Amino acid sequence: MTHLLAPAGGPESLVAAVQNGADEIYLGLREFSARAGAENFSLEDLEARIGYAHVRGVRINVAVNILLSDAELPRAEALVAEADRLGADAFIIQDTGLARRLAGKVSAALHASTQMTVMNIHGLREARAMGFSRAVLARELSIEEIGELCAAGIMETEVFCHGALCMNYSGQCLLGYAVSGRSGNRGTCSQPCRLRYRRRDDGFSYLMSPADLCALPYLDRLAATGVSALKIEGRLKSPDYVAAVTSAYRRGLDSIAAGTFDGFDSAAEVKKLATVFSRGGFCSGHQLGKLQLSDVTSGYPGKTGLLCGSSVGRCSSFEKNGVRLFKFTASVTEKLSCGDGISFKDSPDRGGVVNVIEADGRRADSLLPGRAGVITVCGEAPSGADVPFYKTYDKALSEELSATYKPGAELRKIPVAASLYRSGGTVFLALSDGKNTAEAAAEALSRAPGEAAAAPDSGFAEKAENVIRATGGTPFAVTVAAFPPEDPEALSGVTFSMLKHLRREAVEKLAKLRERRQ
Amino acid sequence: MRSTFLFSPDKLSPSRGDSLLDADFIYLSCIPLLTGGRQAREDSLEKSSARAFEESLTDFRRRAAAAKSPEKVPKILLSTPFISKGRLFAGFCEKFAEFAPLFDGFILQNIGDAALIEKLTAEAFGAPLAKPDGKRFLLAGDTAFNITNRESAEYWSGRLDVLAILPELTAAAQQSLAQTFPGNIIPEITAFSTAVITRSEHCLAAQGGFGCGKCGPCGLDAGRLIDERGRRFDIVTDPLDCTSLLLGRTQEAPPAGSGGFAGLLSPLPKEHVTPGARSSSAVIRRDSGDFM
Repeated sequence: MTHLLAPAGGPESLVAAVQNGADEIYLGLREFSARAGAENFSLEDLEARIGYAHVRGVRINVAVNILLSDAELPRAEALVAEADRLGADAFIIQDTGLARRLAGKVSAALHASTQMTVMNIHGLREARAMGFSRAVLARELSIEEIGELCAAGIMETEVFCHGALCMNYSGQCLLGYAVSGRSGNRGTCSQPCRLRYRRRDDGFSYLMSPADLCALPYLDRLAATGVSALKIEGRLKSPDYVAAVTSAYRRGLDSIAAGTFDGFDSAAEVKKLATVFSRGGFCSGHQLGKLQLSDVTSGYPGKTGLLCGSSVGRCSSFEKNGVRLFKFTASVTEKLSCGDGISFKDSPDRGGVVNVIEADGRRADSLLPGRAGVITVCGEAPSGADVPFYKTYDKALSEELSATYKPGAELRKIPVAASLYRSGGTVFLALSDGKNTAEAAAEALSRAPGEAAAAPDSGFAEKAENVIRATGGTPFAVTVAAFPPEDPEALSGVTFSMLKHLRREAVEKLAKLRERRQ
Repeated sequence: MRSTFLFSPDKLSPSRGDSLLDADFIYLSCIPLLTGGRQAREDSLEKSSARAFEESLTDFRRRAAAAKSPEKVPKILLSTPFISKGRLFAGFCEKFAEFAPLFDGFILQNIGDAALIEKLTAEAFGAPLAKPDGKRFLLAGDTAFNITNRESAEYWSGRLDVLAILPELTAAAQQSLAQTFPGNIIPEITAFSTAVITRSEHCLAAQGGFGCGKCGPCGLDAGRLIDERGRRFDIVTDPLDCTSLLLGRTQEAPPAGSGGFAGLLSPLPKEHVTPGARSSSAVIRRDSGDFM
C-alpha cells in the first residue's frame, strides 16, 4: 500500500494532515531542519503531537536534514535520541556523519533525505550501507526510472507527488550560498531560483522558476511504480494548503485502491489545489518527460491561483469611506463569489477581495462560469484592459478546509470492535483495533440472593449498543459490536451510566496503547 | 598539494603553458570524452573526440615525465558524470573499460559512485579498483559528498584517497576540519575557485528540454546566466541528456596583495589543533588559471 506523506510546518498543519488522511507526516524541530523558516516543533511539544498522530494511525517522521559541523553533531545526536525516546517513527537525514552516529542506535527508521541526491541503484545500495531503510529519491526521476529503482528491491522509496520543484538537484545546489550566503544545505535557502536572470542578449525573466508539481492526474501510474510513500512538499505552506492537498491525494489513492481511479475527477481536484496554491498552473516535473519551456513560470515566480476570467475593458478605481475600490466588467470561466480574492496576471500586487457582484442588473452572491457581470473589488486595479485574473482565495473552500483542522475535529475514525462480557460480578467492555485491545471493568449492580436476573428487554440491548457506539468526538468508531452479547447475563445489573463510563475508560486506554510506536 | 578541475583537455596543451605540471592532481570532466559536442550522437564524431582526448592526455604525460620526477608527475583523475543517470552516465559505464586505463583514478560526483567504480573496475580488470598494470586506481570524492564534519569523512575511510570538503565552509573552517581528517584520506580544501554550483536536469541554455529544437551553443561554452546584480554564471550543457551545470565562484577572492593562498597552509596555533590531528597538508583546489 502506498503511503501518503504530508508536511507539517506547525501544529495546525499537523492536525490538517492527520484529519485529511495522511498516513505519515514529516516535520522539523526548531534546530537542524531544512525548513528553518517554518514554525516547527519543540521537543516539549513533540511528545503530545506524536501521541495525537499515533492514536489516529499516523506515523511521524522527524526531519534532521541539513549538513552539520563537528560542533553541532553531538547536539543533533542528542535531539534525535530524545525524539526517538518520545516515539518518532523515522528520522530524515542528509548528513552522512549523523547517519553514521545513529545507525543501529535508534529504534526509529532512518530515511535518506532527497538532499542526499540518490538517483540510481548504486546510491540506494550506499544509502543502505549507511543504515538507511528508505530513500527519498531525487525529484528529477521519470516514472520509468522510479519503477526501476523500486523493482530493484533495495530499500523503501519515497517520491514527491506535489508541491514546489527546484530547478537544481537538491543537496548539490550552492547557488543560494553563492548569491546570498544562505545555504540550502543549512535550511536557509534564499530561493535564488525564484530570482530574475538573463542570458547574454535577453531581458531578465524568471528562467529558473518551475511551476509546482502535481501528479494527481497520473497518480495511478506513480503508485504503480511500487513506491512506498508519496510525499507532498510544503512545510512552509498554510494549513489550508495541507488540508486541500492531503485530502485530494487521499481521495486519489483510495480510488486507486478501490479500482475506481478512472472515475476520479482529478481535474476538479486540481482546480481546488490551484486556488489554494499554484504558480501559473501545475506541471509533471520530470516524471512524464523533461521539463518543458511552458513549465517555467518566467513571468512571475510566486503564487498565482486559479485562472478565473478576464476583465472586459478597463477597471475604474474609486474611493469610498477611505477605502480603495475598483469596478470592472468580468467574464468568468470559474465560479467567483463575494469574499473571494483575485489578482491580475503579471501584476500580483493588483487585485483584492471581491466586495460586490452584479449580474443581469441585480446583486448576486456569485458569478457562475460562462457568465459576465460587474465586480467591485476592495483593492488596487491593474492598468490596461482585458487583463486575465486569478482566484487566489476561495472563501467557501477555505471555510470548508479550516473546519477540518479546527480544535476537536475528528474526521478520521479508527474502526474498532467492541464486546461486552461478564465474569462473576464484573462487567467488561473490550475495544480492539485489531492490534491493540483495551479493557474497562465495572462492578455490576448486585441483586438479592435467590432473585432471578431480570432479562433485559431488546429495547435495553439496543439502547446499550447505542451507548457503546457513541464514540463521537473521539478518534474511534465502533464498527463491530457483538450485541446483544452471547451471554444473557452480561447486561444484567448494567446501567447506561455504567456503560458510558466503561466506554470512556476503554477509549482512553486504547488511545494510550496506540500512542506507542507501532 | 594542489589540484584543479578542467572541463576540457585542451587546457593541458603546451600552448597554455606548462604550469599545470606543478599540480598534484588534475581532474578532468568526462563530458568531452563521451560527447564531443552536439553532434556526439554520430558515432564517428564521438570516436574522434575520444581520440583527441587521449592524445591530449598522452602528450601531457610525456611532457610531465620529461619535466618531473616520477613521484611529482600530476595524477590525472577522470570525473564521473555530474548527474548519475541518463545517456551520459550509461555511456560512462558502457565505455569504462576502454578509457579507464588512460587515468590514474576517478573523482566521484555522487555517493553511489564509489561502489559503481569498484564494480566497474572489478568487471573490467579483475578486482575492485585494480588497474590493468596491476596498480590501484585512486579515488577522490568531490564536493558533492557534502563533507562538513570529521564523522562524514570517517565514513569514507578505507575507500577514498582524497575527499573534498564542502566549499560552503569558510577557508578557515575547511582548514580546521582538514586537520582532523582520518589519517588515510587526504582532505581537499577549495580556495578561490570556479566550481559547479548547480546541477540541473533542465537545459538552462535553451530552456526547451530534450529535442526542443531551440538549441543554441551547447557543451562547454553554452552561454551564461547573469543575475540582476551582474553576477555571471557560466553554463555547461550535456548534449546527450540536455542537462546543464552552472559554474560560479566559491570562496571570497584573496585579499589584494596577499600573494595567493600561502596563508591557507600555515599551521594552526597549537591550542587549536585537536590531539592526534594530521600534520600533513591538505590539497588546495584552485582554478587552472591560478597555476599560470
